Amino acid sequence: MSAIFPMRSESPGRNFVPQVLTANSLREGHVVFLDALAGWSSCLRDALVARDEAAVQGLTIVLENGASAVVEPYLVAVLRQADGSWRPAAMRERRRVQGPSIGSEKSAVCWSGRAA
Amino acid sequence: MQLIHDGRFIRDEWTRTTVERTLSRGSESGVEIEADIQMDELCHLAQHAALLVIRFPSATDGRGFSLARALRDAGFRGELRASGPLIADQYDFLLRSGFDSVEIPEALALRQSEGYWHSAMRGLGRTYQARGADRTTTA
Amino acid sequence: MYRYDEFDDKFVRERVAQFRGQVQRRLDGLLTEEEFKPLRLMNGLYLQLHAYMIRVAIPYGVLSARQMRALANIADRFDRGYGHFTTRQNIQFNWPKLVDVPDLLDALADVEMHAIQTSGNCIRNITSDPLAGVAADEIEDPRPTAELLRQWSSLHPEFSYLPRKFKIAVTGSSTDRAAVYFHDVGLRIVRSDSGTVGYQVIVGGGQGRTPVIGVILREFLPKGELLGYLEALMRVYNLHGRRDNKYKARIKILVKALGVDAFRSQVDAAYAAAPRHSGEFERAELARITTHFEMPKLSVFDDEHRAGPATGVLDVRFQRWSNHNTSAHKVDGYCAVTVTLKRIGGEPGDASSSAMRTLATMADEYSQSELRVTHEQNIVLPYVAECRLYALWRELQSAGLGDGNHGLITDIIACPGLDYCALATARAIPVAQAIATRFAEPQEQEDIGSLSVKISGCINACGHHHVGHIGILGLEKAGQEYYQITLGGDATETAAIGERAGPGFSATEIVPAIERVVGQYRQQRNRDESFLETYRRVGIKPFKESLYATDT
Repeated sequence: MSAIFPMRSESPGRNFVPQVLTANSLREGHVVFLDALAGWSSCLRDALVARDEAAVQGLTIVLENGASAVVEPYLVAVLRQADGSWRPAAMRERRRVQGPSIGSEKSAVCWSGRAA
Repeated sequence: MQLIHDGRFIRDEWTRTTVERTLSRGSESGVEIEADIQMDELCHLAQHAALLVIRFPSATDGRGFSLARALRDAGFRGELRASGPLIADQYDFLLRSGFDSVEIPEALALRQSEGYWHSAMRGLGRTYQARGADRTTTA
Repeated sequence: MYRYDEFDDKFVRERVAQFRGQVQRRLDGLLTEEEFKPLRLMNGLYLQLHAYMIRVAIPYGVLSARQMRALANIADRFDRGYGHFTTRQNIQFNWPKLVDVPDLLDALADVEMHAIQTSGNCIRNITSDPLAGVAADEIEDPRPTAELLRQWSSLHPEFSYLPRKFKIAVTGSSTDRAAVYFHDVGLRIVRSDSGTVGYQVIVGGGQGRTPVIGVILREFLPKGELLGYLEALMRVYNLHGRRDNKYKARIKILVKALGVDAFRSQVDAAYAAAPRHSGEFERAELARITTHFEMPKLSVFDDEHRAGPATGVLDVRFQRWSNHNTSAHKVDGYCAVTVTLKRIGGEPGDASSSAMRTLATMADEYSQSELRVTHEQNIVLPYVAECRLYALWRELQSAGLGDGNHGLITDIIACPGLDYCALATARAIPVAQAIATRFAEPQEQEDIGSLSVKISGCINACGHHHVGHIGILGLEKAGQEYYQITLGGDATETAAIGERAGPGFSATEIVPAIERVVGQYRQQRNRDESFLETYRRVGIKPFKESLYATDT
């Protein structure tokens, strides 16, 4: 499946913050992100990052049409880190990606592979 | 709108008149009411109507259930119809609240087929509220 | 305890079958999420931050050993080997998969349990006193009334789509261990002047964003009229509660808006308009249900056996546990034991499957196979012979469940918070762990005495911080967690909402802040005064000064 989001040459507005589309797996409930092939991955590093308004529009279309494999999709603002990786801007979203900070879940689990 | 009665999709014998919110079937008259109607106005309308259509603005707005029960408590013996985006999983509650029929948007009826409404009717025969000998059951 | 008859069993099984069908239709795309969501909520299935969460109903907190073992098996089979006991006497599992939930519900049905109506805009779990049926100060056991209400409210056709959730609590003692002033409807079993037992009806209490102490709607409601009166009350709420704003949809808002007198008039009018029942059904049902709650046959021990083994007396840790974790019992020679799920540095209210199995075994051996879940996220063994306390304690100790900290500063209540909950603004569990660690030393805990610390990770107040002696509310500002302190809350019959002390503290500042509060208490207190007593005598001022004094 080819990439479905249009490429644009203008740079985004000054206040634009890149976004990813996140949701929870319908069948299993874990956190997932829309990836570049329009599938759903458990890892943030696979997430398609919308770096301009047009790309965000593309994500919004997926969100509104509802993807059957997931529930409650929404957009999350992300910021680029020094090492090139992306991290959610909001504390709550970071916690959601990392998993619980306590107990046996403590070590952040990032399941590899695709969600169903 | 698709009308459901006794777990079956049926044709509506009532027609809307030119007067807003009124229906007729032969010489009988019916009235459509909103969920926020006041009790005394409701009782007034109930006196002359053979059919009361109670609108549910959404599936989660449960006021219609109380309106139906209040009407039955007050002795209303006419037809009670629930109208709105209701799903088959609510059919049991609707029947036990005193409704005779349910009217849903066509688009919803395509997904909530007659089979679902029918099996929803047979489904939950057992209810705690119906247990008491002197409690009114309104199915 | 209540045993399902054929009716109850079939009811629950039908519910599971129905939900199994609903899940399949959802997975097949025949139900949208918008249509499915109220249905899954009615079966207690939430979508949380990292996963689904299922909340299992433990009606008025009563559990059999067999049920506790089943919960342990469910934790192992469908979850990650643990469960969380909540402030409403339920249990939550944090990691179920939607596809597994129908099987999970069947496993619950096997032991007469379910997750019906633990979520959604319906009547929730009826909660009660964890010492119901055994407390020495009881007027009448509230459990039969709670069971009657449970049956009445289960899939009630009129009240399944309320403006918002509805919580009912019942207490049978003058000492209120069920927080009836902080529920949508609170019922106190009372005696009239002529000695007849009936109900005092309190309405419109609650915590959340707008904490309110409930008001008395009816001073005395005779038995036989409870269901009819409540139906009238619920009808008024269902018709007139706000549906335009989720945060203004509880009955407490309606009662405040109308005023209690106008609200009472409406309820009375609705009650008068409804067909009058003789009360026979209700009284007969109560009588039938009451037979399930008779006091078990407890052995009577003669004086020699009551004294207990001498070695128990010398163990300081046992003494401490015996002082704090036991409660007076109706039956001579017996007591109720509280097992705290508050291991220092652990997660408040969490129990591993092995801990659950230990508790089940202890219940079988020492407590007539019965347990209770408390509002404080602890477990009670309600029928323990005093002469066997030391033996019980030894076994609990070796399982890491023998800490004698019930009611002390380390017996902290904390909601799951941002570590689990989609609604949270801050984490609550790490704060609980840090405070418990700081005050872990038993002597210091003893010196501080009775002090309830309650922590909520957002303004929805599921940690009940408004009624903590010290309440902590976790918020977020500029991407950082910060914590506000309230003081002087009280969940009992001397109900009070905690007063806010001032600006919040960061995650690194909160424990030193609590230290200053505790320090100020020690400074101010008269001999034998508890924290709450001192606070009520001296007011908030010295605590504020201590919290916010700048160094000179």
